[in-house]
Amino acid sequence: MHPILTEVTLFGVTRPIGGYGAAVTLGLLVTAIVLGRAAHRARLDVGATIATIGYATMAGFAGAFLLFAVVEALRTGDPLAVRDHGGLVFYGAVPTSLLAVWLAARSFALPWLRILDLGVPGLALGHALGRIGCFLGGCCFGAPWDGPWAALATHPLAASAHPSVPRHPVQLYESLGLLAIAAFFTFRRPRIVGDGGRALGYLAAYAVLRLGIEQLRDDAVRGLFAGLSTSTLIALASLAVALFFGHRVRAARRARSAA
Amino acid sequence: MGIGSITLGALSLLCALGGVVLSMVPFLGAMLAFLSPVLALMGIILGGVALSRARAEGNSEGLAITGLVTSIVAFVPSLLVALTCGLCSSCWTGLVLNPPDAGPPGAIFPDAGLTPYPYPSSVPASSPPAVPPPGTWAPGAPPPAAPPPPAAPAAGLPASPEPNSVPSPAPAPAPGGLPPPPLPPGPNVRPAP
Repeated sequence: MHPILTEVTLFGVTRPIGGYGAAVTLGLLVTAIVLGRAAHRARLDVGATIATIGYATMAGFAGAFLLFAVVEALRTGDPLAVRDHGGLVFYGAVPTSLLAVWLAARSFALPWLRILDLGVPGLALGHALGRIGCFLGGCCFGAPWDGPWAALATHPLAASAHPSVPRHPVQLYESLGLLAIAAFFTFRRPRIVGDGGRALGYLAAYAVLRLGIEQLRDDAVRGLFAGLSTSTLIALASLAVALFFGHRVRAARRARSAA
Repeated sequence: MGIGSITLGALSLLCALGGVVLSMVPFLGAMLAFLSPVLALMGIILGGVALSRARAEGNSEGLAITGLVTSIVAFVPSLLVALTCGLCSSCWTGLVLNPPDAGPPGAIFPDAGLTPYPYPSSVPASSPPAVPPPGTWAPGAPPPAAPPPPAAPAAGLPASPEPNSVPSPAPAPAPGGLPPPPLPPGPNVRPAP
């Protein structure tokens, strides 16, 4: 764990640079670069695609923080519980980013489902890097475990070091799973790109991965409702949505090929 | 739009700088740190739109690309500042708003683990984590033992001085009590082979 990667000194003031922030920044850059290259290859308007990425990033951060604030308010009973600590929930970014991509693509006359399909490998890769940031920062940690590859956080700033016991490195499990998803969508050439099939596939694959990971996580900040964490409930809902719309996409493909 | 993008990128850099330097100022530090990536993203959006329009209308793309590059270059440090100094500054603002009661150091972490440690552990949940020296703990082995608690005061000596008593600089050891531990060797003392 490296909650603090390094320190910078500006005008005599020394401040730390966090491992989480560095990894999330790198993940966002990788996502944007991969999507920008894919849009350039697909002969889409690169400028409009970059602007769409900007809208999606802004909306994604807002949604991720909003869901964190709602979960914290429900968990603690204090509506302003996030005033003295921050956090992000990935699943909060999904609906707001989708809405932003849809609105921006409409305004720039871009095919929004095609943008989503092209962005899947970069999104999975950037998300994997972000999870490495979680491991560095010591958040989103796993249940206590005494196995051979258990991770022991000792840095006082890492939440997983309270108490400092060996735990499942669930952040690395999730990162590896996301890398596998990214590799699958990168190297498997789809017959059809642009009808949202790849984006739905990513949504379903990540929901399955997250459902497994949630069984090994232990941080209380996720919030528990009826014995299930917030992300478990959202993963179940997103899996249902992905299966429903995936069935419709498949039916539309069959109808097109029959015609 | 290209000029707007350049301006927003430069403003974002200035806000990031302010967020770093003023992160210990409540409200202002957090506001600057979180405003910085928002400005950079607005610059990226403006730069993208300017690039798109320049290509569609056949105009020069130089200004748009300059704005885009400025904003993207500003976005990297501004997000780093927001996710490091901004979070720290918001914690600081929260502490200023609600001074916490004296508690264990672990109480500042709202996401401490749900499950109590199922294995024999000597690290209490409310104490700061014990840092084992490198190489003393291997995966699969039980967690390292905590340092022994401080020795109880010897019989006959009060645990704390009386309120109106004159404290003595070095209390004499009680008969039968343990001698004080030896001082560590100085920098010029070489250990015996």
